Amino acid sequence: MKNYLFKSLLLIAFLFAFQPMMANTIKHPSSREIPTTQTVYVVENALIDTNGECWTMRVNVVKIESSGQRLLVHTATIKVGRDCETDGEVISSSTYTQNDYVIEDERLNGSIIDFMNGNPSVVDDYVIARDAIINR
Amino acid sequence: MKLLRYYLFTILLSLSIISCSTEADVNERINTTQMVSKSGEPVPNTNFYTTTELIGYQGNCFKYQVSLFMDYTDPMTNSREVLLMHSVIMQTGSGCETEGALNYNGDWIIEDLQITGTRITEFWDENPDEYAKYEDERDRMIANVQL
Repeated sequence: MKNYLFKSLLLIAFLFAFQPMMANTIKHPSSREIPTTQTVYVVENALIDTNGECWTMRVNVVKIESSGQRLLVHTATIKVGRDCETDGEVISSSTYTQNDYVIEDERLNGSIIDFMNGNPSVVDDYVIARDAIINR
Repeated sequence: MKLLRYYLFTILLSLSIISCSTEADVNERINTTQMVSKSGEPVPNTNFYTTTELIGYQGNCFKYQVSLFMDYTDPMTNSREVLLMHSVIMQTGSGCETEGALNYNGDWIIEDLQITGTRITEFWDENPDEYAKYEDERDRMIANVQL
């Protein structure tokens, strides 16, 4: 009996030693650690209108400089949902089956689509902000 | 048989340890749902608020976005909703290039999205208190610019 206890505790201790390593592999995207030297972008969505299963939102991409200064770099109006009857450039968000149409882009610093294509993490943040509005 | 008993013992011991360690997680989740359900408490019906976001500046000319939000309690669901009512790009200060822009009390309206089909200036004309809130937000934004 003593032998079982010892062997079992040894095995459990071994498993626990590797647990932090295993836990790290399933991290939620929003809990990503952002290195301070990297430029940080924040995506902020605001609901304009809902029509059945069609949401119209304004998307803001805000750059946070190392001084803490916020600067709005992109602002655009999008439509998303299966009831949207619209056309326009589409954001490449692979996590949603519906298309996200950009119906108006203020082009403060070029196209928001081009910017998102070059910054996949901004698309991820956009998806989180969009779904937070859709599901609220 | 001995080996089988050993494995059974190990599994049971592991399960009991794991169930203890996840208890804290479960408690956390319960707490967050309680906090979420609190937002359904009765709130005053309609409120407006204004935010400003700096786009850039050149010398003493500041370009920024003004957003006017309405928050209200949906009578059907009794939940609080926030809607963007106006989104406008403006400039203020000296030395601004303002060709084709509309002047409103000394500031320049570069572009009004007219989300609700009306101009923000019409709203401000009818709601001087909300215009005063915009002025406060604008001044706070400029005062806090980290050059």
